[in-house]
Amino acid sequence: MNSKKLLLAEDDALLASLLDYRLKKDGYQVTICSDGKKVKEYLEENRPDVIITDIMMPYFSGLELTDYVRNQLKLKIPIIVLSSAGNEENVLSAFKLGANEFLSKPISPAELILRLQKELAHQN
Amino acid sequence: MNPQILNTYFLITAPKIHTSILWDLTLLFTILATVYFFFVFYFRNRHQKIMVSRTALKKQLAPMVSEFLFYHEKEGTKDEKSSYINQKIAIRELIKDKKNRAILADILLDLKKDVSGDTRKRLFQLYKDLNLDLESFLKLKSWRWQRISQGMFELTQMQVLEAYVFISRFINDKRSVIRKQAEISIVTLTPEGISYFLDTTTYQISQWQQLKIIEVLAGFDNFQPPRFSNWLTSKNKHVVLFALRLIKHYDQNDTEQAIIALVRHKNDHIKQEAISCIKKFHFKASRSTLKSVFWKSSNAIKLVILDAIASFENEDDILFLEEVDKVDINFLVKSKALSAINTIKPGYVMPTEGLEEINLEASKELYMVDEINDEDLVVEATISDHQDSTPDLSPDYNMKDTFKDSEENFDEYQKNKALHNILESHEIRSNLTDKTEEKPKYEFINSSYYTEIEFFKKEHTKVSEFLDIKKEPDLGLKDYRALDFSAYHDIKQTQTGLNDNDLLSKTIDHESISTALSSDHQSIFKSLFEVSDDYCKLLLLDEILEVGNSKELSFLNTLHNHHNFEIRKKAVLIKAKLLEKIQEKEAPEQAFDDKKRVQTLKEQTIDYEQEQADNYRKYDRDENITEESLSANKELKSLDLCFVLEDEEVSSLETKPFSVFDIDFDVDFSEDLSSIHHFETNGKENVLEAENGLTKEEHSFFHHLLHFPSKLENKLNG
Repeated sequence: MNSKKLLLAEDDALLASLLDYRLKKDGYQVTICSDGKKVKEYLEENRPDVIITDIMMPYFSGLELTDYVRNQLKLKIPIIVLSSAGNEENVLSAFKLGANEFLSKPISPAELILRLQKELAHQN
Repeated sequence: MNPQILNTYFLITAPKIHTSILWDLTLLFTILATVYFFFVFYFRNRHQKIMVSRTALKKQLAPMVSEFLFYHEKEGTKDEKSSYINQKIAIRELIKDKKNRAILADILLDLKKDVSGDTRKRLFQLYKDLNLDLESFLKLKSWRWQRISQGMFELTQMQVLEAYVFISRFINDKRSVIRKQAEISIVTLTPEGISYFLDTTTYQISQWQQLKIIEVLAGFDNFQPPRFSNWLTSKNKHVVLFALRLIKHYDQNDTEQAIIALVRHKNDHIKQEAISCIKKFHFKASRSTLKSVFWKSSNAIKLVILDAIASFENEDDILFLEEVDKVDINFLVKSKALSAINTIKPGYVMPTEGLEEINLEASKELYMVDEINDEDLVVEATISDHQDSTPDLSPDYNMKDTFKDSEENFDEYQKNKALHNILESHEIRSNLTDKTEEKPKYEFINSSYYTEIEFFKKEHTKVSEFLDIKKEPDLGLKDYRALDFSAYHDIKQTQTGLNDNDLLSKTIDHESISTALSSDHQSIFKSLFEVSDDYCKLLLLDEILEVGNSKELSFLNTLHNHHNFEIRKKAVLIKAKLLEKIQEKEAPEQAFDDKKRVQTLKEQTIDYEQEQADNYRKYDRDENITEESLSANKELKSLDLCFVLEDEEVSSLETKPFSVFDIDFDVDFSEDLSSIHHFETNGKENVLEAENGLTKEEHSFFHHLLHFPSKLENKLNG
């Protein structure tokens, strides 16, 4: 069983709940933050192993969060970005800021798990 | 009663108002405001409460839904299985409530947008397992349009295929919202839905709807589109239009004839879409249809047609496009026609409006001088080369003669030297590059050319005067020659450092230098021609025939593209005559080959006559052509034809009858006429036969006889 700490930054409660259920089922310790402010507060005190973040969030967008984690906190933890607007500009921005993966909505939970596992394996 | 007193009375007395009523009104409005705010707050709070309860319920139901979605019966442990069963029972209890059913349906619809793959399939299955689709079916029976629409939307989103039959009933519903939702649902549920929809619909299909349907079709995996040409015959014109768009979208180019036929459709949208298809699929067979439809179409359609014709890039269409440019009055259409011509043949139409007037010939000369400088040619070598290569130049322009003239008139030469100095300060000279200034020898050639232009302009504006000069060179022509000489003189001086005496001892052919000019510039008529109006140009062309030589041929060639049809035509005619004239002077063994060329040119002339006749018909429609020019054209036509026929010594036979005499002669020499006419169409041999049929004396007699009426008429007219 996994015991990795995972931060899920998603403002859509239904999707967050669904992913939370699915990830917990795989043994991850999931923390859900519904906006960027809460994410920032969480990161000041905790260090998750993986961050899954949506781009469109209140206070802090997923891209700003990626920039914050990479350039201010200087963390090298895997970041998986989710977005319903999977246009080229968003994808390129995410990868330029240091995101490890980019998934466009609608997402397949099974695919997300696989990518997550791959990133964690790569980190180890 | 005194009216003055009455007025005063009414002015000073105000109407009595019961103050108690004001208080009553104040109280009434206060109560109304309170009630209004009370209702606002009440409904706002109620709505908030409902939202909170819904959110709470969603939070309660969401994990249950997640468990249903991710539960695998085979993988699950005993605890998971028991939990799953408990959840199932709980959710069954919950959905007994109508509100909960609605909330659960909302959850599933929301999740459907966020998840894909296997999870989505499970979601659809869960929707059916919980009998939420029944709720949606019930909505279809509602009388309210928004509920029916909502029901169709839910069934479509959850991929309930059983709903296809029920939804298809709403395809022709009179309420547009329901109808549009039904169209989208039908197409979304099955790929075959598009066929049913196009077959059934009798209403308009909005452009937005068309886009939505195309978007839905694009979402199908491995979609095999039906042959949309089947609906080109639909009675619903919107279906035809949509079918055309689908044909274009799916590149179904196997229905050429049907699409071409739709160009003739009365509906402009269909017509436009058909032309758009034609353009995309490059149906060249539609060219004639497009042209025939063009004149009856609106301006918007005309533009589309021109665009399509341009895309074919067929040079045969240029004539049509030129006609459009002449006949159509709409600026956009005319511009588009010209643009299409240039698309087909780039550079065919050149800009003429708003251009600054510059002396292009001078620029060409300057450019030529620069080229010579760059290549660093030795002038002597060039002269000798050109002597070999230009045998036709007139002996009048031999440098030897020029040299003699200038020797005899050295004073004039000095004058021209001074003139050259003046020209050095000319505006054109100031535009010369530093490179040319370093080598003034070639600039002087250019200056001499300018002298020539000025000379013609100021002193010999009349053709007759010019011709006198040409025959008997006076001071002006000597100026020209002296300048040419001085050009050579300066060149030699710069290059070899020889003095004037050395130069005088040399014999140089002027023709060789003149070849440094482009061939069309060698004609003495060119500069005069450019400053003349069209009527003078026609006169000049006559004079070319009288006094011109082989140098004029190149110049006449340049007139083949002249904008004025008369000049163009006449240039061809004069060229033919001039060639004949030149050949008469040349060796007899060359005569036969040259005769053929003359013959070809004559045939061209006859073609021009035919073209002119066609153009006259067009000009009749053209508002821009004045009656004066038209009548001038007609006069010219008969004259030119007379020229041709006069050469063949049958001038009065082909021309239109001017008098009773002409008609008589036509009858008398019908055989000759037919044979000559036959010559014009079939070749040279026939006319030789016709000529050989008569002796020289007979020929001369008939010639005079033929000309007698016109001569008599001329004499009578003074």
